[in-house]
Amino acid sequence: MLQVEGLRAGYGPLEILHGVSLEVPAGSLVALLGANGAGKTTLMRTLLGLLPARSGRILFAGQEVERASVERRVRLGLGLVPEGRELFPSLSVRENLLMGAFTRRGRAAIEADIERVLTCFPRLKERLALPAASLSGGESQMLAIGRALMSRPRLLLIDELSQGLAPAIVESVLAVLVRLNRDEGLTILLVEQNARKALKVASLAYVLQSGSIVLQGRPDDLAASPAIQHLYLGGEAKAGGPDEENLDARSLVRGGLNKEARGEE
Amino acid sequence: MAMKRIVSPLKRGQVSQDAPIGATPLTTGGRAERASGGERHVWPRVTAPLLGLIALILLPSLFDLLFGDSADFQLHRVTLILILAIAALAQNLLTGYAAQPSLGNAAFFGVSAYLLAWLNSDLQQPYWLAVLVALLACALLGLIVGGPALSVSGAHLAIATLGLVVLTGSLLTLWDTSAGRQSYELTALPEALGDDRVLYYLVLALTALVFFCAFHLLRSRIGRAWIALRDSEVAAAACGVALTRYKLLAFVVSAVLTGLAGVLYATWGTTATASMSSVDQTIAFLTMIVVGGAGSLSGSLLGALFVGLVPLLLGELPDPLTLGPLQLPIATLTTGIYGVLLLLALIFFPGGLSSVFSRGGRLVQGEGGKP
Repeated sequence: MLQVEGLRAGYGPLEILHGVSLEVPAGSLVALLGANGAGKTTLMRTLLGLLPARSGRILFAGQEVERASVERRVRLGLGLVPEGRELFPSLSVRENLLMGAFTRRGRAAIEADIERVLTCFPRLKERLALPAASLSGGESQMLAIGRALMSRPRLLLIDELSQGLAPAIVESVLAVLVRLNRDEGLTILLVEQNARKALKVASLAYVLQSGSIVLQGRPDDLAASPAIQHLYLGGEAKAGGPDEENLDARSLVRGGLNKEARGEE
Repeated sequence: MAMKRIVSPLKRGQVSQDAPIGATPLTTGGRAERASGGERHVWPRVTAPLLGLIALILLPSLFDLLFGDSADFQLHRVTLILILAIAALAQNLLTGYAAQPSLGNAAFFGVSAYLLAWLNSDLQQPYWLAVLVALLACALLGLIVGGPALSVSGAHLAIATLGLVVLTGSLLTLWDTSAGRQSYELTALPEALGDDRVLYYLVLALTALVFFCAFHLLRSRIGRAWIALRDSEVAAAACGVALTRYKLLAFVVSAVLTGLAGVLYATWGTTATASMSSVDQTIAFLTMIVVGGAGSLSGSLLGALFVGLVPLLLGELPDPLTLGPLQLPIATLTTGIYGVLLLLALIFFPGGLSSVFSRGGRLVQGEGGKP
């Protein structure tokens, strides 16, 4: 479905991705792990075309798309749930969903897909006419996913699914995604901070560090690998390691500090 | 403290954890109005504009009763406010909805007026043809200028477009000077437009039509795309909105509407002056949408009402106004008052007057400040 070879991208003089290569097979659910600042979001943006690729190839659905416009990639079947959801707060829930179908024509099919999204996320149904600004964090993520689904993607890129969400909500949203992947054959590339949760549902996983893929393989192998824990500690090897939940918490805290140092929001 | 007050009302109605980042007062005003949306509120959305229109249609008769012989004179003043409303709407579509802080609209305001004057008075072309050509010229000019201007964003766009206004103003002055005139008189206007009532109804019909179209445009794919790119450019792009194309479209639509306001303004005053393309005029446009409410149709009307009333009220004063040793030209005083209004609006009601009214409306309906 998606093949990336030697992808380089960045902002201004700063190169973030130093030749990323990865493959997302059709029908798979692939997890992309990595600490904050590893380049996960940059990779997502470059895949969709929000950021130009400096070199390398992106092969999607048999076509080279690294020079194609975002619009074209969306039409080809790439969908993105951006980091931080990025809803349209002053548009209603329904209008947010309609925006997701921006590149599509055919009212009836679009209405049918709104119904389909509401079946996946029934909580959005009663909020359809309300502005997206009034949604809770979990509902926002559901709407962000629903909006991305409205373009009828063949490959859904999800950037930071669990960010700022309660564990129970992450579970229920993940369950929906797993069901879409299994029953409807939706291919998913899931970027996650929470390595444990992502590895549990994925069929293939990659680890991105400092703009390069440093590890890849079956989730079971990766989970067992001490390298994963090592990476999540960012190089401070910790003997007799704490349990994984704590690891996640640590990497989140570290990530937060890194973000601050880089002057991001 | 003042900063805090500027920021806090923006959060109103946003319960979610992820409030938009980088939201500025200029681009968030519509939220309060839209936040009250949904099917329950169709009533005021349809009925209020209709009642307002009926009131405006009956206004001349009311003025006859109120003012007697000076009714036409008073009506002439109301006409100005309606013309300004079109200009406010134009600025609002571009800045309040599509979030482009362009200050260049005054350029189109002056250019269209001068084109009308030149075509109609000097070249003896029919009035409506001249208007049509002026509007097309604005569209073309908007397309030519908008492309490069929109490749920069934020403050750079504001400065670049303000430069356009100053340049246009200078060129128009140069034209006037070389032709040996103070301003460009419209000497060949259709006779019917000399009648204050005819002009009033013409302007009212055009204003109503423009607002009606804008209402539906904003609920169409195009309007949604504008609001979406205001709310989150990244997400709008990710949805497949071609950002540059839609920004340019907003720029051109705004230029044409400002051009329409410009030809009507010149018709109304039977003259085109270079001051129509000036920094003062830009401030007047800006004041209208900030005071009225950025991202709000009713705000455009309210803003025009306030900005239109200021010179009318000051027009009662002698010009220049003498205060002890001070000699104040009324034009300077007007711009000064716009500045004060801008400041007060930004501090006390960043959502503009329209948000004050819709907040009041919701309080009456017992919903409090939250949707």
